[in-house]
Amino acid sequence: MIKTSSWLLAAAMATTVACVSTAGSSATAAPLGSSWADITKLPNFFSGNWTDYGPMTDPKVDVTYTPAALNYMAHYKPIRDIPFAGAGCKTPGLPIIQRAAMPIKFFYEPGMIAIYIENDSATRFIHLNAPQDPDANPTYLGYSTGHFEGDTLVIESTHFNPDIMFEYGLRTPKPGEKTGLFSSVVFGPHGPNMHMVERMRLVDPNTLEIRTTIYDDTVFTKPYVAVVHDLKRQQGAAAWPREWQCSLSDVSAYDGKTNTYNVKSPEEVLKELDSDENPGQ
Amino acid sequence: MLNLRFLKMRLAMAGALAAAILSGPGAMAHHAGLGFDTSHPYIFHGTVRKFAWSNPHAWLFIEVPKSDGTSELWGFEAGGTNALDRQGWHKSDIPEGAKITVIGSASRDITKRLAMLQKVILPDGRSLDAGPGAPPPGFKPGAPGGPGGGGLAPGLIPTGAPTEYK
Repeated sequence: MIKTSSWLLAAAMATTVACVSTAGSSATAAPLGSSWADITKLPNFFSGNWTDYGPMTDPKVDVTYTPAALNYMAHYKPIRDIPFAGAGCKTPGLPIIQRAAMPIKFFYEPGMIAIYIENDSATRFIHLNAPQDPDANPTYLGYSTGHFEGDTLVIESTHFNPDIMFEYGLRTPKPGEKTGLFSSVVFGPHGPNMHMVERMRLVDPNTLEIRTTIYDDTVFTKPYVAVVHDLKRQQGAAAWPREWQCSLSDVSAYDGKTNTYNVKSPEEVLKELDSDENPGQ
Repeated sequence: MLNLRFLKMRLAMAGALAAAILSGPGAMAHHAGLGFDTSHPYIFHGTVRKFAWSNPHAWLFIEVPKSDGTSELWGFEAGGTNALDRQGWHKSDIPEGAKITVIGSASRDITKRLAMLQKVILPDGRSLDAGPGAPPPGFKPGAPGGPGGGGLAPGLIPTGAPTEYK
């Protein structure tokens, strides 16, 4: 069972009651995010979209490990890339997919905030002011609940698939090692109760700060605090969400089984494209 | 008529921007396999065989005539469709059969005839930059120790002036 869930919800309720009390309204008022009228009271996460130009994985990690995790890291077989760079663009899940330099966009309805992640055409659904579902099925984006603490949206996500790209920390590639974009990162399995807490707030009208803390007592002996990410707002026509489908991913695809890249010839790719467009030929 | 001198000057001035355009972290996960030689970009003149409007990257295939009378098929990797769309690209701008100019960094193994697309110059003179878009001011290149960081990967920044591919 997730230990922080009840605490977070209690904190949300306390914050709400405090705010309501200060305003002199009824103490039984529903928490922020419960009505259509609340949209006018929420921080403006919703206009335009947001792009994260920070690192996909953490370039600096201050964490300590369990003996099991240390043993895993000692025997870790490095990978040059992640399956997202392979045929089919398999999603790395959170938090990487949200950091991949393509826009995200927030939507609201009472009791829910949705976050569309353009890179993957994936959408997170945040259950506002709701308890965690202990029976939720695992997903790549997790099961998320959220509440507002003043101007900060606090999201707790649980129930992640076992094959998300879960970062343990950093490593130094060995001399002569064939390296790639992710050679300096250690990825590994997470525990069943792994959960992430994101705190999102506007530090100025066009900058969304996300502070992420990851809890997994099978891997870390203290919370893993990720590098702070600042996302920039984009408005106007360019901010309109776009569809993203992985449709041609095998020209130079990473193969995780061999830790190599399979590169096709232009002729081969062209032949396959022509065949896809003319399936009856 | 294409003014190559002007083009080279523009490319040199826009070097860092082009790098950012080409190599956002999301795109980098897909660029890593080929190992492009960004120190020596080429200018290709050719005829469009196909422009695949696709993700994670769009791919442009052109037939490039050689001085010996033969021709070669080249494939150019661009940004994803949404990044291109936001930069004003339209798939219909690059129809099959169009004669265009492409600037790009070839794979280190040039016999693979794959390249990272930097710019396309259309028959009417318009030019299109490729990629996911430059980061806003204030973001710094490549955070050490991890992929990404400001949308710039030092290894993908074009450093040389383009020369004609023959």
